[in-house]
Amino acid sequence: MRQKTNFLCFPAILAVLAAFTLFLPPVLCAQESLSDLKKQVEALQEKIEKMEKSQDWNTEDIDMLMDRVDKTELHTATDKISWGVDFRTRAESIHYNDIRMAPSSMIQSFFTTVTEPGGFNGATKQQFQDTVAGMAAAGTIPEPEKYDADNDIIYTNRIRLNMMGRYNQHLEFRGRLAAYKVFGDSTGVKFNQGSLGDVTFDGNSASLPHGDTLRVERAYFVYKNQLGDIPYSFSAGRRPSTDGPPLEYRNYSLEGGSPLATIINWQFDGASLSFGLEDVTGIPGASFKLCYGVGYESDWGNAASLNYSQAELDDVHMLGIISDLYDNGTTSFKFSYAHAWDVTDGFTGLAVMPFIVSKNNDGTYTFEQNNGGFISRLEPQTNIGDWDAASLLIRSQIPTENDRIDWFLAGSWTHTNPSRISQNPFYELMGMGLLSSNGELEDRDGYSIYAGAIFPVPIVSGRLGLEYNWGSKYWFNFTGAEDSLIGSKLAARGEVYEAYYIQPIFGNNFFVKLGGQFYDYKYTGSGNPLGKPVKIADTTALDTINPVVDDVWNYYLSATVQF
Amino acid sequence: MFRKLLCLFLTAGFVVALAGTAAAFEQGNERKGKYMFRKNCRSCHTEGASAEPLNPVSKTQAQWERAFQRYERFECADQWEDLAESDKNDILTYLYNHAFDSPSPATCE
Repeated sequence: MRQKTNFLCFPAILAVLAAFTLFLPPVLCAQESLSDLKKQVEALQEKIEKMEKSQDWNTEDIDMLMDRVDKTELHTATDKISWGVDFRTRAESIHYNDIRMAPSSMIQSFFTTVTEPGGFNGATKQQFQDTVAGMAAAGTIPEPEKYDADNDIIYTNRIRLNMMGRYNQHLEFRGRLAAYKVFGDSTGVKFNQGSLGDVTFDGNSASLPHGDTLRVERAYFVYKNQLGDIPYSFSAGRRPSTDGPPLEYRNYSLEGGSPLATIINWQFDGASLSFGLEDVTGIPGASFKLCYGVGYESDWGNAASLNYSQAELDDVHMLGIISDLYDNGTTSFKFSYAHAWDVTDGFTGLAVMPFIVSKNNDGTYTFEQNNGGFISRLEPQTNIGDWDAASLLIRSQIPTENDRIDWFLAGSWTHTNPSRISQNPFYELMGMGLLSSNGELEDRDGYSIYAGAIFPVPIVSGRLGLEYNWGSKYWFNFTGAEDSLIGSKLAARGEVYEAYYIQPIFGNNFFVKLGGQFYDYKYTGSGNPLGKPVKIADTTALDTINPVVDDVWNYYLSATVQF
Repeated sequence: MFRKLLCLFLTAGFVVALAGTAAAFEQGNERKGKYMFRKNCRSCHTEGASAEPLNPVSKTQAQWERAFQRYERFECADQWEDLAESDKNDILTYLYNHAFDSPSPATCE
């Protein structure tokens, strides 16, 4: 019985086992995939949570960016102008050797009445010139006295705020506000010692130290367009006519202005029309620019009063061309020619005159000392002639192992064509006209050379510059805005040597410059249109009523920030 | 006086050791870039043509850099692909160096 039972149970057990065997793996597999799915779902949930969080952050970021963009758009729409800064602080040490000055006895004779021996005050032009001719014949014109003068240290600050605004790709506005001052002085008016730099006038108001007043040094629009393959631009306003090529080497900057600084460095109001000729000529960088400027405005509304009874004075107009003959980015040839009509015997400006000369109705001249230090408004009185100038500048590089040597060479010519003697009482008495004295009116040609090389200084990435310029006896350019406390070196009738070391700290955005200059003047009146230049060694007391500078040593150290 | 100047200068020299500049990208050949831009881009990117008029001052330096990083989004992406990497870098150099916010000569051109 038991055996039977056992026999009957066995198949059942087998069947159950078989069923287990058949059904267990799928069940187990299902459980596994379920847990996998669970894991995947969990991972997905985690991902979704992260994405949602990230989405929230993105939305937050977009909202924040929108707020910021709204502000910048508002600024862009309302500010119109972007600003740049160029700030320089400089220390200089200036040493004059052998300044020549008429002895005080000679100076005093101008304030001594003509009725007394040796007096000129109250003399007619004829009396004065006869007396001088007699003294010259007798050899009694005194020798000038010589003395040295030093300013061991003089500090200056110069700030330039550069403006640029663009309406669209055709129309831009550019400008510069500038203040340039000597430490501790903001009067804006200097004592006049016979140099144009001593007069505060339109051509140099922001380029030489004249106090803490921000002046409009530049302000002009540029309209650009295209004529076929010729891009052209028209510009009018207060021009970028200072700091032109090749002064960018010593300024450690990009080109600072349009005209070649060898012949024109002067704040001008005017206009220009320029054409890019590269595409039509195939000559790299070729361009041609016409420039126009007004140096002096006469007539009603400005200088002349409505009851002005003196001889009519014409405006001074200047027209010039500036042309890039070739510029491949490494080597360039730049040419400029300029002509000025009716150059005047000075400009409207302010200065403290050492003495005032006036012409009386009876033809006599009165000399008065300016003992009160009063400021005079100076005005030109006569158109004294025409002026031409031309300059060719070559700039290039010599590659070195890891750097380059920059060099430049400029040759320039000026021509003066005097028309009449100045009617300014003092100059009239001396018979002075355009580079003429004693009533002579002759055309003159002047020549100048300006050369320089700038060497890399390895390890510290510095630049060492050496420059030389020479001007002939009748060299006369319009560079009265050249940044110099001594006077424009490029106007020198003589030689100027300069060496400088530039140490970049943040490239040309922040750099330090240490330099020295030696001016060796050969002839009087550098940069001045009036009077015939006289060899400094041959000057007499009459040539040195205003001090005449012979040699100057100048050392300077400056730090410049520009961005 | 000279001693003062020398001290000032040496101090400035010392500052140099602590200073440095960072170039935004590897500068290429600007002049070649100008030529390539005129040859490849200007015909379309000019007034009255098929694309937005462009010249270097149309964008800031940063905007030019971004444009060159994302050129595949532009309609003329295929033409960009035809340019060699060095050509693209030269064009960027030209546009970057004359961008709206680039230091530029203070002349009226």
